[in-house]
Amino acid sequence: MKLMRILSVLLLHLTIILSLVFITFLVLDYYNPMMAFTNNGLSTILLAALCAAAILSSVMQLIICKHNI
Amino acid sequence: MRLRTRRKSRSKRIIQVFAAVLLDIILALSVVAGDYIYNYKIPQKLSSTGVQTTVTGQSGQSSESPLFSFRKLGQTSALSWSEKFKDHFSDTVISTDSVYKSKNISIEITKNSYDSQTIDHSDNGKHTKYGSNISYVLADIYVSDISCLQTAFAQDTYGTGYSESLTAMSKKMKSVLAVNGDSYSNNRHANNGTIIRNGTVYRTQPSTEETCVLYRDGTMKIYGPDQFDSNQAIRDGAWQSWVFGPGLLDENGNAKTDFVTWDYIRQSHPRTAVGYYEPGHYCLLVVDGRSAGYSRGMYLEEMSKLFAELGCRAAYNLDGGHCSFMTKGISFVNNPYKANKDISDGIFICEPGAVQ
Repeated sequence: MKLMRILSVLLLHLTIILSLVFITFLVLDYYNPMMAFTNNGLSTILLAALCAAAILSSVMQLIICKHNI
Repeated sequence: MRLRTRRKSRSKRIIQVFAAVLLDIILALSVVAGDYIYNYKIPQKLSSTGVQTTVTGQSGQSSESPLFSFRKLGQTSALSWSEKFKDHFSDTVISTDSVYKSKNISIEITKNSYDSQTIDHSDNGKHTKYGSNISYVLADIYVSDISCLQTAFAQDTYGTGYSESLTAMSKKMKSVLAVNGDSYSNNRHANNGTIIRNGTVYRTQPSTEETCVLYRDGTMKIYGPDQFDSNQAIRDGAWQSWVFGPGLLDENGNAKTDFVTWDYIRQSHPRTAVGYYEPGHYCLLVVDGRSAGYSRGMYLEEMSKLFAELGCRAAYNLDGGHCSFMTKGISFVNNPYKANKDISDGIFICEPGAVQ
């Protein structure tokens, strides 16, 4: 359970980081959509990582909440 | 005592959380910086199709000669550009700050400055500090041969992450006049258009922007995103193509008020644009901007109106902002607000044979 809490915190931070990255990408794409910050190979990988981090951290939080109940 | 201890540990927790979030922000900015450096700054050569465009004559014979249309199509009554525009050329080379004339090239540079009486309030007022003045440089160009209108990539390399100053490129190209191009390498969109330079096809992709094509016969056409057929353009002898846009005039040469581009481009900016009158007669415009009290830049509508007043049949916006430069020889003709910025490609007016 302790390991799960640590992992959960790390995933939460990863979610924050990747969300901030994509917010920045969206702003940059507003100024120049041709540069395609949200639509290149690397950003596709980062988006997949963001989704995975969000899902895993949410599931872990649910498990932790259940355990605390 | 217990209350004070509790308050202290709560403050400590809050500080720890803020520190963690701050670290997240720093890491996020590092990821963004890493993505930018990887995709745009690390030099990466791109592969070209290697296809050369040609012109197919009425007899079915093809030739790569830019003067093909006058020699082989049987249009003996058609004047060559040298004859048609002979009043603009000179047997001896004349070169001043604002004029260049030779047997093959005629360039006249004019500078204009005026108060537009309009302040740009867009983008939350970011442009208001630049005032309402507009200054631009216009080069009126006649060439005897389409090969006088060359393009070049930074460091002579087709790829991303390659950049070079326009003055350095002008020196290499031995150009009489030069402007920045369409910054093709910044376009990492999946549909990043067709790039044809000096008759060589580098890539053929669909585009969400308008494409400008200069053909070997000297004509210039601008195609909408769904209108451009790269294979047809290659068969028709495309000499140069650019993908940035938008096109500035309608099919009748009238100013447009609606443009195929994104919101940021619609604001006032330093600009570079190419205009077309007829085969052999073109103009290049560079508008200075982002300089308070000197020049704010132009809206697309203002640039469109200018080209319509000049009598151009077509006009096309190239990359602007901190990339807008014009050089005569190796000296700047305009007053860029960031003179030391490198660019990825340019358009060069050169004497025939200057570039081997």
